[in-house]
Amino acid sequence: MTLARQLDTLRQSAEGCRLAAFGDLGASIVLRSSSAASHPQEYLDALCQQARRSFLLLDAAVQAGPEAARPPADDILMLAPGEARLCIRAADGSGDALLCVCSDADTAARLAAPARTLLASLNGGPG
Amino acid sequence: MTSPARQIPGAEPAPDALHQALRQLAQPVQALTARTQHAAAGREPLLPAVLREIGETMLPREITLCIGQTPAAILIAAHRRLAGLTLKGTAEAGAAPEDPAAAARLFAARLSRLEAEAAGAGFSLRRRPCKAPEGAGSCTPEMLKEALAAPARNPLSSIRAAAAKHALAWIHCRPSGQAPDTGGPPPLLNQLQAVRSAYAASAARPGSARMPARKPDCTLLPVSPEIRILAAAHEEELLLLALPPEAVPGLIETWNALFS
Repeated sequence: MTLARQLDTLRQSAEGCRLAAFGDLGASIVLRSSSAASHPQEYLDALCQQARRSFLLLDAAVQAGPEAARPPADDILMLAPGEARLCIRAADGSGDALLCVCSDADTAARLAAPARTLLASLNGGPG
Repeated sequence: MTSPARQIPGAEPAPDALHQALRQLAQPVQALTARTQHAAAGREPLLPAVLREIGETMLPREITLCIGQTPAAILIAAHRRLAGLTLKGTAEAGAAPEDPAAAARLFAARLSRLEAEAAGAGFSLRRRPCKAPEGAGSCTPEMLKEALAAPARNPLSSIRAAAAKHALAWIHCRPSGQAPDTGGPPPLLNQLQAVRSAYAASAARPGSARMPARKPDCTLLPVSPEIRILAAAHEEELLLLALPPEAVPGLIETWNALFS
């Protein structure tokens, strides 16, 4: 199945998911996305940029804490007026990430597990 | 035999406060106890009841506010003004700045925390005479009401008030160069400080503005299984909170109520 098709499937698996995207956090660009409405590339890249910045905050907090040796979490939830944005990053540090833009935080939380599975499969892991 | 009361032609109608006081005096005792019972059953909103209590207190009184059966705050009121408010279980003293507007803001923040703590539960007010407050900053119920409405213009303060019961540590950076308000144990404050520094560094980097610029946002960082950090930004303000995971859903709800 193509990546575009896999993103379609992920998005359609949860009512309230408006957009699913695969991107590179290091370069802050979305490489492929699925959504019912069209979005300008600037929106998609800014989404990626926000996720990158949020992971910088997470890593800074973990490094400053007592559990700095533990691998940091791979998920971030970002709220914006009227939407909740979930980002899962690859565990291998490659910068690959899956982003879901949802109508609410509960929908975003429900998508965390399938998004993580899809990302693992894209990175050659069990998926 | 006396003649029935009648309004003198041309006389001014009674002012509202006097009217209300006369109406209250004319009420049967059952009506007053019903109000107390409604409050105890959680069917009476807390803040209006507290404001009314202050407005009706002329002689100095220490008012203990109990949520359920537990004392939650002690208020000192006199001359229809609030002169002290101490929350139980906090190190915050009851004294307030001399400037009435500043005192109103301080008391309003504490009342908001009290309201969040009550969360619709029943409450009661116990009064006893006390010494007249000396040299304490005080404010009227009207000033308090205005200060309580201010969070609508300052939503991050509302989030902070809603989180007061759960927050393990916090940094609240206000605009216009005011010193940040911080609290909590040093290890957690270190983590919040690290987030603050990373936030400032990323915001200063070209092309890394929030999306879209200056729109409010809120990020939840799972720093460990026991701790979440909430980073909320609105205009020039930044609020960082360290929280247990179970506090997060309620704050998401608060954030959505304020911004969505």
